[in-house]
Amino acid sequence: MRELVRAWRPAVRLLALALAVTVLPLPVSAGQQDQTTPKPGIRASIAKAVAVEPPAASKDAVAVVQDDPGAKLNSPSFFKTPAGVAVIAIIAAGTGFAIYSASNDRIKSPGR
Amino acid sequence: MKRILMGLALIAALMACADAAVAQSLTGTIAGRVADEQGGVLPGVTVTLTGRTGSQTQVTDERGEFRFIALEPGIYSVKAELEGFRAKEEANIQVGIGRTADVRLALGVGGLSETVEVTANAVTIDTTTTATDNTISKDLLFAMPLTQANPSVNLLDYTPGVNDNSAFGGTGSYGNALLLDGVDTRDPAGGSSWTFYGFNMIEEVQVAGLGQPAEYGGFTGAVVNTITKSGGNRFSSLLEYRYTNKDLAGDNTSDAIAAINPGLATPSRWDKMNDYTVQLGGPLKKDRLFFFGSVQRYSIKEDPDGPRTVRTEVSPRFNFKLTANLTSSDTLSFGGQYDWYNQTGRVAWGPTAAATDDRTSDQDSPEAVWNAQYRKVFGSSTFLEAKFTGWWGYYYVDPIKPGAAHYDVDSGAYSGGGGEYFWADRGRNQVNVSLSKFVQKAGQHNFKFGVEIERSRVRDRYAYAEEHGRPIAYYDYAGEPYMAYSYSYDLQGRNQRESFFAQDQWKIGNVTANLGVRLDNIRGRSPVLDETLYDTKSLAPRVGLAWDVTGKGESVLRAFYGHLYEGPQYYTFSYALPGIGDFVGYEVLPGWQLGEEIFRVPGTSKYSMGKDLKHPRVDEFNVSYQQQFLRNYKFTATYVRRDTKNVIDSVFPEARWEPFSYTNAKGQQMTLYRWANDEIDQKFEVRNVDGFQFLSPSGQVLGTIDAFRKYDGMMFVLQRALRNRWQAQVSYVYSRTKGTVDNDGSDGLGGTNFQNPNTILVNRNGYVSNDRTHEVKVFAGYQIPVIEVGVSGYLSVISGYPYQPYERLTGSRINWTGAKNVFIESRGSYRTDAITAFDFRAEKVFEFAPYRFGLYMDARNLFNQGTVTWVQTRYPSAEISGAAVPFGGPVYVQSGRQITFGGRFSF
Repeated sequence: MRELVRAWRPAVRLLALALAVTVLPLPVSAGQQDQTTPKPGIRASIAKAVAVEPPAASKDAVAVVQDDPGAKLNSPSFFKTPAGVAVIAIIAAGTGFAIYSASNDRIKSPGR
Repeated sequence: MKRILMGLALIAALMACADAAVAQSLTGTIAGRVADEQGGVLPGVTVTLTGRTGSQTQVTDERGEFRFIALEPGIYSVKAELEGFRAKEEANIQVGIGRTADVRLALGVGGLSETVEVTANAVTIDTTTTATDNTISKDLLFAMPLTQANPSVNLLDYTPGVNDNSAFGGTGSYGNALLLDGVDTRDPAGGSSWTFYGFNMIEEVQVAGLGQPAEYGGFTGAVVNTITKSGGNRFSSLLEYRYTNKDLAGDNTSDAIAAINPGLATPSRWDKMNDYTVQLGGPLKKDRLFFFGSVQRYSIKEDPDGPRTVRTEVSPRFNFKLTANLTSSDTLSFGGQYDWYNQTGRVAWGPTAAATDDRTSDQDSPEAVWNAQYRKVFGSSTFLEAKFTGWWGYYYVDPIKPGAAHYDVDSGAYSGGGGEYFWADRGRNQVNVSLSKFVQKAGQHNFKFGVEIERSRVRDRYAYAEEHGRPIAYYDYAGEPYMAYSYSYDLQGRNQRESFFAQDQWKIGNVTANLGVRLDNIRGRSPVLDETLYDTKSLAPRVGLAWDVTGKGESVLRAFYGHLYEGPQYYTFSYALPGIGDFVGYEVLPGWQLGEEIFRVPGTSKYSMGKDLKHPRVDEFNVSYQQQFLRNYKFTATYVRRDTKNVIDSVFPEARWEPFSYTNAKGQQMTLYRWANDEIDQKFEVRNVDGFQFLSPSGQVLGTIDAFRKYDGMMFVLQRALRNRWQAQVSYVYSRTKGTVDNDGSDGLGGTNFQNPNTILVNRNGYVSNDRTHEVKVFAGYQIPVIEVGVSGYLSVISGYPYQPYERLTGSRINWTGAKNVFIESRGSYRTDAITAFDFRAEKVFEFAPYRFGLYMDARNLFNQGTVTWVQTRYPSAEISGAAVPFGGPVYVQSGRQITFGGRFSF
């Protein structure tokens, strides 16, 4: 697990930097909002989750942002991959059959 | 494996999450404080909130506090950073509907550490609210073996204190507010559920019962607030298929039961069920515009209890939602649903337990639902929400075998055709607008003000099935018809409601006062007469106190008192609407030909609305204590008292009654009443019935209606958050519900039980239909290591149902225009056996990040219990399936074991 995490560290740092640059800060501070105050440098390594509980609980503590194999899901190009094509095909088939069923299985009351 | 653990952790976080103020708002709040390890506040800390649709950043104020408001339900993380300190992040923060998650971060002094300390939530308690709720998140819905059919009501029954949708003694059929994305979508006719949506559409379900603030109204039971899924910055999808058939159904019937009631010789089971869902959500423009779409097709074929052999349901459903962050502080969403629900094998006329296939009906019922929501955030302490939801739909029930139905008064048997047509048309639109404001002055105030406007329409058309050119039903005696009745109606009504509320959650030190008031202006109108027939104004106070006993957020003592008013219901005034047909009795000639007209009771002119009506309500008092301990446990003890008041039904003010001694079928002497002045026309009045007096011809008071129902309950709930791969919730409820007003939906709503002293003065005070003395519910989940299979289960052990014997007295016996069922022993003097059920799920998950593929097996009633759940209550017997089933004989048996297999792919 740790080796896997270390291998992804550079990519994760880039991702964190990208997030920091592109997010849109909302003017909803509880107190004063100071947009000019420079933020501390983002040094979060996001390499390890450390539970502050007894060791027995550490298995249950979860690292929020680690390596992100789901990054491919952030882009529409995902749907050009084989998995994406399969998902679209299944959704289309399911939608088509439901549309057919809405007509074919319908009970028509003499009252309408 | 990591995802499985994360899922279980999320479930644990959910179950451990703070009980929080329930709100019509679809959003929650994360508020907190950042301090150093010595407790000194830290202003100027950069706090970053990250969720599904992006991130937000704030800087802590001079008190070290921060507050993120108007957050969509979901999972968030909060990270605090300040130069010279080690950054800290709180992960898996579950934001629920109307909840405030309290996050307290302590930063340690540090240098250029690259480590972010991440903590998972422990059990926390909201020490400021007096409301209790059980939120069921998407992850819990995903993992547990929960009933998927009609989730708008069925998920209620997993809540402590709720069974058969009867919540804390309330009426199951109409006492609960059923909200979809924050707006009530119930049938305006009788307050029952109307919109059917797919289980997989649910993001989160909040089941709120006790101590609700003023923004919640229109309920005397519980509130179910369902939030539907939305898209986010990441594409997500769910493809799921579920299947079962009769070979996967257990046979839990016994020869002994079948010998008494042959209709139960074969068990109720699903012969086949196919259910698939395909969903896709994601961004159309990152951080700005998101979409979500869902298609489901659900179909079942069932062999039901009793003589019927088949019942089917088919429901294709289509959902979509668009969400737009117009600016950083404006969010707009728009969504809709369309489904066409069809059912065959539905029973219309007569008891379900005795119906054969010939006497069933087909149901044609489409619906369209639309909703739009706008949210505007002003700074960090104020936000505005506006919601509009509406729906259109109908359900038409037509007999498959047209032709009159027969009821034999001697044997109690039903025969003939389907008996009746019922065509129901509905429409409802509602607008909710609210303003929330957080103020720090003389303590902390969370103000909320709101207005709701509802407009609904109802049209009901009903007729007996036609024979001889008119709508007819027959009364038989010993197999031969002796009288025929003709009846039909075409009624139209409008519900109109404006509601206003104001509430404040005022926190001073360790004590929080939850104060609120709600005003409901409810009207019922006839569009035909262009008149208002029902007009009430109700003012409901809500007062609660919450005391953080230790000041550490680990324990809270709560007390609450409030008035809860029902929502508008057309059935309350429908009897006074024009369009009720005459009730005509005919002589029956040989060959079942209609003879002379024997009597005619005019329809519409029979009912009028009383003056100064008070809308039905429940007064609630509750006190509770909640304690967090050993970090992962939370215990809650609650006492609840609910009193039902302002019952509306119809009475016959001009009638006079003559008591007489009667020997009932059990050989017991009892006093019954004959209508003494039958020369007058029947004129009924719909009114608050408590205190109404039945008089003799000389004016002597024979009896006074005492219309009441009281619920007393003690609830104990123990929750254990996820640790060492398992988590659980155990609850025990002891309760008694007694009175003269039943909670099965048969009383109230302008009914007929209070017209005749035989059905209200005789043996009517006792344990009501939904009185379940003892209730134990257990949820548990465990992740088996090595093989990484998740197992979860739901066990319920609940007392049986009260019942009592009745005798059906003909109209001639009591000199009335129809037969009446009279209790010959006190209400609730018997009880069916306790019902035990264990539902189980095992799921093997294969993770190929970011994809998740799971194969699961659900077993409903795993141990195939065959408890009799309802009995025949006519004394001495009633004919069912050709057999004379005696009083106490079985008519319903718990559904046998049903195993369902499913597979789901998601990312």
